[in-house]
Amino acid sequence: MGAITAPKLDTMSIPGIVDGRAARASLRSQLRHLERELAQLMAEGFSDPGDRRVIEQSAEHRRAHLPTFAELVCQRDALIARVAEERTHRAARRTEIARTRAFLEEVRRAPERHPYVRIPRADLGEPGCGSYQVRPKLGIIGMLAGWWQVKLSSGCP
Amino acid sequence: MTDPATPRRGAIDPRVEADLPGLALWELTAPSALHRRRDPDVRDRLRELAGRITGAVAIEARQDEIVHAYRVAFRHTGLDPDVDRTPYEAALVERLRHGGFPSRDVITDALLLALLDTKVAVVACDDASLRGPLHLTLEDGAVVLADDDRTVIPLWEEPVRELLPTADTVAVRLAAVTPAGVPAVAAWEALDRVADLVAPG
Repeated sequence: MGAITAPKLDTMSIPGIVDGRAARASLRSQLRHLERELAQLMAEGFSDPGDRRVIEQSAEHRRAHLPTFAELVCQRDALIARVAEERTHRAARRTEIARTRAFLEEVRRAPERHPYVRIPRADLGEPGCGSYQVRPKLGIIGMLAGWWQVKLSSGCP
Repeated sequence: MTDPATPRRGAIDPRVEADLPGLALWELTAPSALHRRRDPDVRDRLRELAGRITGAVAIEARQDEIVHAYRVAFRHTGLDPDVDRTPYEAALVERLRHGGFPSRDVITDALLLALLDTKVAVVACDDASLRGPLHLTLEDGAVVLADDDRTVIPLWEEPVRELLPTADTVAVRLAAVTPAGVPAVAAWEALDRVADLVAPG
């Protein structure tokens, strides 16, 4: 069975049905706004040290050309998907950070209930390689007496 | 006769202009002495700029107005700027990969410095190898820079080898294609910067 290919759609060649120029201008404007939003999301992601993902990119090199209407639509849809993926990821990360912060607060309130718990700063969206650790006060004495405290270790090598 | 030091606006094919409004082509012919030794000040400036570039700078660059304009123009010309990087971002990535901006030759250093300072990409050809002014046109669907005889450079790419300036080049033809959103003054500054750095004496 032969492969199904999408019909070549170029509204420039459909006079009276769709104003090709207006439709193309609208798509170009959408691409501009989506690109702006993606840039903001990427910058936000980079400022979060706990969020280091490798974004898969196609390696297909092309020449600059005037894309057909269908190509612009495909490009717009791909960018929408990319922005949506990034937005979902950022939202999930924000929830994760909020949950970790809430847990840190709980640990701070009652460290004796969380001995030796370690929370890296990266998990809180903070820069630096340190971590919050629940350690016994005065070493073995605190361990036996149940005196615990939260300490921020530098953690850097 | 036009003043050779004044950037000229190049012609754009109406089909290209209709689809990419705001795209501009600026051209400048500048006398050059490319056989001379590289300027230590340029080397120092490249080293200084390299020291300021980190991964965060590369990511945040895409929020800059000029870089954003290039990224949008890449998308408007059917390219993905995360695959085919815009000139400024490509320079930043090169810096991150190689740990610096190695000084190469007078013209390459001048083009790189102008790009890093203005974020506008300039291409250079040997003026003697071109016939007439450059213009933007369509060739087999691709947007290209052409002179009166032939295609000189596909848009956003480098000139073919035989058009590149050599040590014997006495005048370089500099061209900058700027997308909508890039002020003309940024293009002039980039062209002037290269012209100054390659000038004899």
